[in-house]
Amino acid sequence: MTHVETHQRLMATALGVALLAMPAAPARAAEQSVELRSDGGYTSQRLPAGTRDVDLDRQLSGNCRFNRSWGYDLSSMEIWVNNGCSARFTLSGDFSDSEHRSSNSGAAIAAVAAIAGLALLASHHKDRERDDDRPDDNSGGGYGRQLRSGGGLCLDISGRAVEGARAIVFGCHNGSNQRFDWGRGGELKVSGLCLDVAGGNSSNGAEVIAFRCNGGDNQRWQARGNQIRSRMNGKCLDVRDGRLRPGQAVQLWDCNGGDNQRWWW
Amino acid sequence: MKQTLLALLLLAAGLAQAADSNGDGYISLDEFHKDVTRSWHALDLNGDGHITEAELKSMPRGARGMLGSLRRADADKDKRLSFMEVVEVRMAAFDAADTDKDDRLSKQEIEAYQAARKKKRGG
Repeated sequence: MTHVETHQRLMATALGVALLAMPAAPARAAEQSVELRSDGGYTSQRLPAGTRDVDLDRQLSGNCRFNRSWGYDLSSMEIWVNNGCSARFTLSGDFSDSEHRSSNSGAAIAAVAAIAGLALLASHHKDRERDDDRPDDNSGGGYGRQLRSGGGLCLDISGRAVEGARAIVFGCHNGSNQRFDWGRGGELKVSGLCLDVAGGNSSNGAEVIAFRCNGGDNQRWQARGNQIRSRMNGKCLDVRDGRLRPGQAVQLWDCNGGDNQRWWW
Repeated sequence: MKQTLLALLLLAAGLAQAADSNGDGYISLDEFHKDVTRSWHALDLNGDGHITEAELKSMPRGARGMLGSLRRADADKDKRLSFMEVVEVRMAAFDAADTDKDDRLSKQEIEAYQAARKKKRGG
């Protein structure tokens, strides 16, 4: 192989990697490729932990048809081929932290409707695109969205969204003190203020208030599944004492997977 | 309830278009299978490989009226949905809707399926 050829091949490889990586970022953390061959019978292989998506990348032989001659199981974490299907598959791993959609109430409702057989399709957004323009049952006309907790309540700034007012949960009314917007830096903006951990207190039970936006870590949040975590210390937005009732205070607490730490929008 | 139906209708209107990621006017089996997996992740909140009652209980109000219909999908009656159980019911819907058996859904097939479902439920 000449020098030039080697160089070209390297370039091609680099390009291939770049192409593979580009659409994946920032939604996906990792992709892997696996090849499975059925010699007519059933063959399966374990999926690596954290696999969330499997796509048929390239059929090598046979007739590969989803759920007939190939498929996968995200409960038992296996991928299989059958009836002579041989193919290369792409496995996509953990989604990055910025994946907000998993807790979107519209997506969850649509998913239930599809499994219940009431709708054929559940997806209402394209890959990697922001889906701000999709229909939503709580967009309310204005900017910002309600953040729902259990018990039919919404994240709410007590009284009016003024500096220092406390975050609570309250009956949803879609007022301006209940409409939140994600800022670029992970801020949760409400009526021009930012959701803020009072005094940057990093202990369990720290008060959460509305405060003027200042770019501090105590005003930066990230959605992780249905949890909303402070970027300051990874603790969760939590309804105090697990009591989902109107007026109950919202605080910061270690993430524990409880219902009082689940939010939908 | 009215609100739920309205939300569903609104969703349905945008669904087919969005699931058709290559924009050719058809939902291919691959596009459909992506739809199944994506919606799975919208419900298996803790990523343990099953949709449990606890996860469904914390659902937004709009979905609760439909939860009863999910029991049909729970083939082994263990009160939780495995991935394969979900795939089975979703694929059964795909196969039922794909009347010309070309492994893709046209707009007409989707609409015909939805209309038949609605009729069956008594509108």
